[in-house]
Amino acid sequence: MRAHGLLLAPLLATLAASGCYDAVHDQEVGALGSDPAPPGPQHRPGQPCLVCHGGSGPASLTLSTGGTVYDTQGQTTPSSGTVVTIEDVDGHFFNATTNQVGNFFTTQSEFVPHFPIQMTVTSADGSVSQSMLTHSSREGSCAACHQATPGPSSPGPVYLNTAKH
Amino acid sequence: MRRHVPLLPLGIAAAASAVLAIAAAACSVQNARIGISAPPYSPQSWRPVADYLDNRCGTLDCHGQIGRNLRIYGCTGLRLSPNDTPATCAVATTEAEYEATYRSLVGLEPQVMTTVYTECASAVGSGGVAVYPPPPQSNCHPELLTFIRKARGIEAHKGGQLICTQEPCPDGVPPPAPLGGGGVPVDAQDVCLVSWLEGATDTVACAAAFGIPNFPLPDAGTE
Repeated sequence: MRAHGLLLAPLLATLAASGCYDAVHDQEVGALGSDPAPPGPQHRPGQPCLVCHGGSGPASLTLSTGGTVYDTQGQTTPSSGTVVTIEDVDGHFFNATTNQVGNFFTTQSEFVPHFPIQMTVTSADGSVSQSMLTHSSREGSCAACHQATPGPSSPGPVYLNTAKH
Repeated sequence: MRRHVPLLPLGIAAAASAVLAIAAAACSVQNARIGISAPPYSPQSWRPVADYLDNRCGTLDCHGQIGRNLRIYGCTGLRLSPNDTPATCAVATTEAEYEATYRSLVGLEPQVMTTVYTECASAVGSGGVAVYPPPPQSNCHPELLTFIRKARGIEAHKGGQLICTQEPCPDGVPPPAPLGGGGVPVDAQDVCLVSWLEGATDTVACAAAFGIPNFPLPDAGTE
């Protein structure tokens, strides 16, 4: 009887642990790689914020939207001080401002948009503005679609100024 | 002296021949018997539907993803060519993309699609104009198709209910409204899809559906 109990305990522990294990989420987090900067508003620019900050961890701060804005199309200089207007389908909106690395975010306590959402980026002086041409149906991370390299499934990073050809 | 014949290579050869023969037979049978009866593919009937689907359902975070069963291609979302990029529509939706979306949709549930189309095609009124809602005697039941059930909110859908045929409607989903300024209130998206399933696409409804979701002017309610 005691032997059975000894065998059963690790099995139950494994089952309990596996109940909380989300392999897909863990894979997404792992794919982001290591972070050279300490956690904070300026870390991991250009990466999909809500992978870690979407409520499933590992980050404790839960965001509703987040992303990185670059100054010019095709370049990597961040656009700081840019106002990002997030508008939801009900007409509610929130203005967030990008920091030194171009990052912006909204926390769950600040703004929970009702998807779909659209976004507009406007320069600090208001002279330049770019609006999203489509909409996000349910994704709060800009970088989930706006990946580093443009391709068939990504328009490339979010930028303020169109490249001059 | 008796010659020793190695049995193993002979066995492998025999097995390979048998597998090839079975595979060939299976393919020929499948090719001969499997087909989908679906609304015909034509620029006039399909493009208005596909453009609506691209805008409404084919965003890159939803059905504009390669891993989806219902995969929607278009210039605002997923591109078929590795040289094209989404969003700007600098390269308009290509014929190959319209075809790829069509194949994805009609191939989702081929048998159900065949049943629905066969019965709904009989709902078309005189002059080839789609009748909405389909008359009961036509036995046209678009809701047999999963993509209709999900869009109408009858079945769980991660993107939520997108079509509302009867009030009350959830927030963010436009309530039924008369099409073209007259008639009974309808959901243009539903009319667009059902008319296509009847084989007589209502292009006015699809054009109206293309404007959904519409973002109202921002209010000052949140900030």
